[in-house]
Amino acid sequence: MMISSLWHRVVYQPLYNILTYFIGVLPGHSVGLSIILLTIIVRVALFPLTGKSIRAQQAMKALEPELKQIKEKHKDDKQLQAKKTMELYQEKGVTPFSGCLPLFIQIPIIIGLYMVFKGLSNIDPSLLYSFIEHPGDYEMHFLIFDLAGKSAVLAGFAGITQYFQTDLSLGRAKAQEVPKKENTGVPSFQEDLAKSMQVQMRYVLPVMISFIAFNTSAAVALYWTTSNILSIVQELTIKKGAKK
Amino acid sequence: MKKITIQLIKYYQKILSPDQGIFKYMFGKHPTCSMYPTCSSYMVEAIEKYGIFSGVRRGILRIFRCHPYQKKLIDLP
Repeated sequence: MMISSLWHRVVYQPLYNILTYFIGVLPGHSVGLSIILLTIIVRVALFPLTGKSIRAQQAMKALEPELKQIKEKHKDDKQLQAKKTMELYQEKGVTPFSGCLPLFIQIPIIIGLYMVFKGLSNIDPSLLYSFIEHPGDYEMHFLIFDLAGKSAVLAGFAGITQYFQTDLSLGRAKAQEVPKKENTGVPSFQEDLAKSMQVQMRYVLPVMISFIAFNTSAAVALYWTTSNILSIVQELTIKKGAKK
Repeated sequence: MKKITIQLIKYYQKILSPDQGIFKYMFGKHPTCSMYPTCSSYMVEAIEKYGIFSGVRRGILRIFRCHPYQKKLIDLP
């Protein structure tokens, strides 16, 4: 199919070759270090799309009183509230959220990395570009982990870092206010649902990530852990920058 | 055809949508969409205005306009 061969050429093969190149040049032909380096490079390349800018965060802070006013004024009409909010942003020239395109762009890249890590224990010379040398022997062990096998510890790390990353980006357990049904002391079905969703997002996602990371390979778990740590650092840096 | 498509989008909005569906509480406090109207509402309006094929195409193109460098946040079909 056309799409799969396009994806193969534009995503899979370049990632495969970059990783092989790193394995060839890094000390000890370490696959672990190569995965970390490749993860960092992918994240940096995607940063213009995924990173919330410090400037936008500061602008949002400055607009807070006006946003509150809009919320008060149109609290009964969510549609109008959204519209007025967007009008305000547009007028001030800020784009507060990164939008959904960045998410879509990441999907093929993540699948690509995934596939690359899967075929790692046997580098296929026919996939390499002419200027990339086969590294010969290379080290599939990283610290105490065998990257070709499964690792419960690394999968656990992936889950734990995912938890902290979600926690940071959603804001600390300060649960969102759910519209209360008036005049009834009993929580509505919607409130109950909302509460359980919030809890689930926090705990189920990390567990799922750990599960997938364990069942694929330690290489994938290492990628996920690295990626989460980078997200956490990025988030903290932006928060710090926005405070100034 | 037109009606079915619009109905499907409405179901999507009620159930799956991170902005309005039952999963909306999993995301942060703010609405998840960064443009107005949301892409799904945009597609419904576009289908009503331009017909099924042109409407769906316009709706899909709208999704690609939702990125961090978008300054025009009010974007009607």
